[in-house]
Amino acid sequence: MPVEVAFGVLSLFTLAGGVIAVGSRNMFRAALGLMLSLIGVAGLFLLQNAQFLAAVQVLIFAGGIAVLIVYAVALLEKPGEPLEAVFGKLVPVAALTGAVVSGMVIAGILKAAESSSPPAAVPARFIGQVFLNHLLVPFEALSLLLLSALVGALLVARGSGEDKH
Amino acid sequence: MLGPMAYAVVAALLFGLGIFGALARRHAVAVLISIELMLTAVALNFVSFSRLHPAQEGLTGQVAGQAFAIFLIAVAAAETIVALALVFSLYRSLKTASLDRFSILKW
Amino acid sequence: MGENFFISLKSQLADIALAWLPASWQPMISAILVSCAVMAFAPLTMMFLTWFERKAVGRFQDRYGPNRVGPFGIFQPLADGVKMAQKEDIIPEGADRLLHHLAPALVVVPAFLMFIFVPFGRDMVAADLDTGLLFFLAASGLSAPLIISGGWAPRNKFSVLGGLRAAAQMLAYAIPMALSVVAVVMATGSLSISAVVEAQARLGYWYVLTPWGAFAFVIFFLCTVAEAKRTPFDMPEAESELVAGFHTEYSGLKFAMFFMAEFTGSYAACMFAASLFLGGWIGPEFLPSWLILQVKAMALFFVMVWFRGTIPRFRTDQLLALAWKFLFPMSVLVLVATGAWYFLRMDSGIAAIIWPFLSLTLAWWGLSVVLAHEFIRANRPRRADNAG
Repeated sequence: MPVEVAFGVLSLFTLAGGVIAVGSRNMFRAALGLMLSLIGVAGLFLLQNAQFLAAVQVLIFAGGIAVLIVYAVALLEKPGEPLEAVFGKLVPVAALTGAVVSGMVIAGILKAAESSSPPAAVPARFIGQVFLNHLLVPFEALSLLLLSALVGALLVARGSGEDKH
Repeated sequence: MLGPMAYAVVAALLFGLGIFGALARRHAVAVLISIELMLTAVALNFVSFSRLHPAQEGLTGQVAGQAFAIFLIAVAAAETIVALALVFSLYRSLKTASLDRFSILKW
Repeated sequence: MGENFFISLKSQLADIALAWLPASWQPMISAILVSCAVMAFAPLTMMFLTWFERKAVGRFQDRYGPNRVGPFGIFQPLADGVKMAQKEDIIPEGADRLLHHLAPALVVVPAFLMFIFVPFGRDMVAADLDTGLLFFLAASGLSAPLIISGGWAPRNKFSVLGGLRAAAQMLAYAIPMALSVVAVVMATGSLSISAVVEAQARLGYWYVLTPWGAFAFVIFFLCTVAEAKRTPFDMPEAESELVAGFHTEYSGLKFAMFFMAEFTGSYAACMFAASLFLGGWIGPEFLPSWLILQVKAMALFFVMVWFRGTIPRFRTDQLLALAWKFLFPMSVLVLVATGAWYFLRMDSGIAAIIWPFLSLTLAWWGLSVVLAHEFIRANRPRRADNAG
């Protein structure tokens, strides 16, 4: 019983955060809705006993990516600019697409067999061993990806080099 | 009652919300937020379905699901960095972050 | 007040509650009781800490500190609370009203969360997770976007800048903090904080007494002082900079919330540092284990107050240079030294202590020289005809 209550509350947070993130006119509230959604998903990870993943989710997604997005929103706002319509011409198409895709997925899920195995905890040690033994090449490729993303972002964001100070 | 299917339903709804946001919003960072929602939904799916396997050492089901979710989170971070750098660069030349104005390359 | 005072209190309260509720609710009742205890502990601690800080800073400045409101001014925090509560709540006209009300309340949440993962004593962890250490780091990094929102909500240019600076500082110092904690994880083999304390009990010495542990502790402590935005790293919120930074436009209890987040966050980090490096609740047998941890944490908090009373504030670029150009390479070297320590101990003897200590000291001095050179170069007075 308490597990179902916790699941309901966390899913509510996640979906409410998602609705705020995509539906809010105010960009800042959208960014905070994203953060709420990410923390809700971290809670759902915790409910399934994926503790390491929940910690990584909060640490990187909510403590890193959400900060970047909030930074971008704070820096990109122009003072005194009237709130332009944040929704473009594709709203009905987008709503239809979103509803169709999630409907198809949910229909596929409900048709499949229902199984409620109790969650068993995966120690972080197993994940580390997998990264260093079996998935070593993807792991190193990931660090290379992050390095190139950093360098690329710095180069792109610096501009073409003219110093108009 | 709480099998992986319940979590998969939540993930599917989140994914649908992300698709709606990515297609309907005009602000570049709002589209980025929707993409992050979609990625999070996929990570939730990975972890929920990997739960069907027992937790063993080595590259078995549950550990593989969580390892892939970690990859996903790291790749999402890299993609956010690059996307925000692009948005800033565009903002500097076009003075706006609205996607409707990013249409200079017309034929 | 024996060793198991709080544990027996909690089980008695849980038994009373379970007389009415089905037995399957037992974990939830236990969780609720522990959360209430943490929620009560955090503000009480903050009250005591504000009194302690004001007295100590007063003594550093050759004056008494508050001494009127009670014996030794002990009721001064109560007076402060009443004063803050009766202030007018001013919201700027163009501000985002919802965020202005919400941001101060949200900022204390990560600070309170940090108390859940620290073992207060033997078997006294609020949430004994296997990855508690990582959750602590996650909770301390969670307040960065909330501080930017707090700075943005009043729609004031200076507040936004203060919030952005604060978040940049928190992100920069989170990385050496995480890396120095990884050194402890390498030594223990587990991510659980109670496992770290028990490993120190088993080994017989505290981690701070090893060469890598000493440096990791210093790096970790400096990073927590910076994360909590205390002096000398309090540029984002200092009263003469950017008109008080990200909490300029908040009055009364909202301002008190930001302060509560800072104090409780720094005290939770002191408890965490005491658990990881100073042995936590390990101590002499005649004292209860929870008292030993509080004594160690108060000693670390006193060092934080000592910093505040002694060291002048760093400029923002000096702050960030210290994090990225000094603490971050130093923490990577500490990681290498930790690994080397565990290999060299095979040989045993004094060489296993001398070599890592010497090399880390040399690295520290080398990096300090580089950083000092950079500071001097940045502060050099510019000539009038120098372009840019």
